[in-house]
Amino acid sequence: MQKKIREASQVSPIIAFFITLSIQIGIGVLSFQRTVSRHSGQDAWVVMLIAGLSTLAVMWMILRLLDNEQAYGQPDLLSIHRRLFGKWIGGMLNMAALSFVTIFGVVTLRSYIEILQVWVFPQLSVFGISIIFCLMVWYAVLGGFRVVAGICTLSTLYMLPLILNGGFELQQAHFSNLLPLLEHSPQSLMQSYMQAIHSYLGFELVLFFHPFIKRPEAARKWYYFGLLTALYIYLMVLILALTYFSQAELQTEIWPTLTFWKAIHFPLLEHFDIIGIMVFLWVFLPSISMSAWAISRGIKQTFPIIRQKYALIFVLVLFVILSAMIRDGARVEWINNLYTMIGFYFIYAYIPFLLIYQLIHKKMKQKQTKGTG
Amino acid sequence: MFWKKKRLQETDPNEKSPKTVKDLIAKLKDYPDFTHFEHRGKYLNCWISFFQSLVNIEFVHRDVFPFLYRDDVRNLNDIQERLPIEKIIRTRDISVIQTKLLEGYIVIQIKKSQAECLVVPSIRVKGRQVEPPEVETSIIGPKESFVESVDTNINLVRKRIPIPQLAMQEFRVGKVSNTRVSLLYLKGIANMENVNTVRQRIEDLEVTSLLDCNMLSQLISDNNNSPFPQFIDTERPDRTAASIYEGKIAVFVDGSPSALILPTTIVEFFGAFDDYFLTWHLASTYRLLRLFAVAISVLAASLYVAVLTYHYQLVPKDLLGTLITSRSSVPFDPIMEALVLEGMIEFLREAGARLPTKVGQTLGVTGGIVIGTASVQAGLTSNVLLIIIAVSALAAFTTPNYRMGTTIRFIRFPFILSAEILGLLGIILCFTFLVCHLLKLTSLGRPYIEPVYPLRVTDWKDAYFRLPYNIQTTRPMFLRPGEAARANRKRNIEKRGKKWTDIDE
Repeated sequence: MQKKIREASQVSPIIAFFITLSIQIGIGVLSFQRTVSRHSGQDAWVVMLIAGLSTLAVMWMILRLLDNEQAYGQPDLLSIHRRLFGKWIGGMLNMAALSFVTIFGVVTLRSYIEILQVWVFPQLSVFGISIIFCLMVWYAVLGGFRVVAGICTLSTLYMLPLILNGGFELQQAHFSNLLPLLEHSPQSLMQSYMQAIHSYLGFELVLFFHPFIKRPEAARKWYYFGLLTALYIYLMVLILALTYFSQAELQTEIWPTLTFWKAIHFPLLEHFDIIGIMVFLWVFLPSISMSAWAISRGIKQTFPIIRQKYALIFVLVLFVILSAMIRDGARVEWINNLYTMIGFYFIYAYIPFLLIYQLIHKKMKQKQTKGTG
Repeated sequence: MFWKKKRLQETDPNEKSPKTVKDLIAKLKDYPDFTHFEHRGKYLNCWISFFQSLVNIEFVHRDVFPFLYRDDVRNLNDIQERLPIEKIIRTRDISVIQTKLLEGYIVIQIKKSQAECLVVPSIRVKGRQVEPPEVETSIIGPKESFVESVDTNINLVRKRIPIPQLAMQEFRVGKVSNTRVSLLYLKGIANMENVNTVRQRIEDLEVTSLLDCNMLSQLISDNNNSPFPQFIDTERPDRTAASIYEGKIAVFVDGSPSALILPTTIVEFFGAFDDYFLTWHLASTYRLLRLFAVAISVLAASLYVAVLTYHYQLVPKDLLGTLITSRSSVPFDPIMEALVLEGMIEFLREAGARLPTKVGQTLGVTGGIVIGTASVQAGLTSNVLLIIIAVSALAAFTTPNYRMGTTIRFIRFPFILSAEILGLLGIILCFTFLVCHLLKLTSLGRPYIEPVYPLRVTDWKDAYFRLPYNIQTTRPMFLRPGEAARANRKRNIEKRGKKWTDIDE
């Protein structure tokens, strides 16, 4: 049995909204317009909508899973694994889950560095800059979950101007670009679906931080609100991109959002893209600090000897090494695809399986006690 | 270790202290301001000792000595009964006699060697008169400020809060100085958890001397390693009273002309008390203006360095010409330029603060103009940067709280240096570091950047802007006050009636 979490390190239910939102909106928001519309063209928004709605269903399953677990102990994925599968298999599954979160962190970090290299500093060393980022994450995560949640909250605030400047796009938008509706075959829509999921991934971290939210019943609606807001933002950004760029042009832009930012002029500012990329640091910071926090805590839960502050250093060193190993843009693309693949099966196959297994396990236990009693 | 040897030889303070009254007087006799004489009257002979520099000598002559000549006064008992002064102590305790003697009491003995003494209070309170505030000046509103005497200060607050619930606790801090520290709060409204935390922190202090409340503020703060002040110091009694009404705690230190208000959040440092005397539109605008000024002050110079070193493509074409002409004669990098000018401004400020007022003003005006224009003409800096630095220096001074203002000026330098290293990325990294630091900070265990995180929308009514008083019906949530409501909202509406029924009615 683990120690109960102190109230001082828990956060109020409304913060659940900011955490879900800021983790979901990550590095993907700069480039998903291209990847999602590659196969489905102007119908990409339908795919995005369906994928977003499916995350609500997955969230329902996750919350169901965690609520069921409440009776047995701490409601998080690692405790569930340990209770359902025993020490060894459970431990292995924990390691697998933590590796998945590691990929999430590394992908986010490396993609941001990639953008920095292409748009701002071509000679930036991946190794050096990731050390600096990790030092920052280290300082933040040392403050515990409250500070990580605070970063998520502030991130939502700083994200607003980046999202709202989509208004500039409206002047040049051609809404006729969206026609004809639903022209593509289900197969090509399905191919886009995989890419859409990549943008939405991240919310499954609820499985790790849920015990740190006060009054979980009250937090439930905030999780859904967070998902819906993310869905709304993604949909809005996608539709604006589809109407602003033509299909042929959109496929040539690696980061359509950045291309669009380049067209924004202010009297004191020639173009907005570099400022935007810098402020974007705050959009990717929640994902990486939350994953670093989740992994270091996971290590502590699996091996109670290791303190979280030492595990954190190990995790960040791992982040630096892994992101330095991903050398060029092609490999960034490759690891992004790998991550999407694992994430897809994780949320659509593994979580339902876990929920069903939990129910069977409960029934078996009841039978056993009846049989013996 | 070698260096520990001498330091650890602590002397026992009780060892050398006198054991009897006779020892004590023998020890003090040589000091010129110590008076010790035998009074020989018709009916009573006694020994009187006191410090001339500490007692109110007029009071002693007028109100104490005449009683010693009366025919019904024959011994200490009689004196104690007849003397119309409260709090006369009769004691044999040498430590009490010693401390009281050094606080300005007079000691009366029948015989020189007798241990039993009468200790009569006659403290001289001499200090500054209550004057208008100098640091937190205001154009309208009360013009009183605290002085160095804690009793006067508490008087200034108590007359603004005339209810018995205004509780006061007193401590003695400092092994040697024994400074009086008083803690004021409203019973039933201040959160007792906060009060206990403050009390415990003050009681746990291990210091030799305590001279000012800013010292105390650093000693009891949550995080010593932060450049940000975690408690507000104010010299305005009206502000202190308003904070106590809100449910905060005020701490006074004897000898310090300001009070500490705790706990606080960061936005309160940018609110002047004037804000409550102006209409809410103006007050809100000025508060936002001050916050904007802080952003300018921290970021302006570093943005200049970052943009001119790395991101010149951000400069619009029309502005580029001006920048080029201005910088064409300057042989240095932007960072050198910025550091030279910032250094000059800091020299000017520091010199202005240390010099006497009359000299200081001349220095400020001539120094600023001469150095500014001359450095541009000499080609050391560019015109544009001169304006930027001057504006950012000006902006830093809009912060109403002096300690916060110094912090703002200080954190600008890490920003400039990181802008030189990584351009805009360096600035945003530095900013992130700062925000993480602020997220961690607490004031008495309460979050420091409260209305933003944890997000409490009800507290926004008096943070970045000040909404009208009829909306301010609840006390700030972050204080967790004993009673949340300031006024009964329902009754308020009932009394005033409906505001708006119809046209011309």
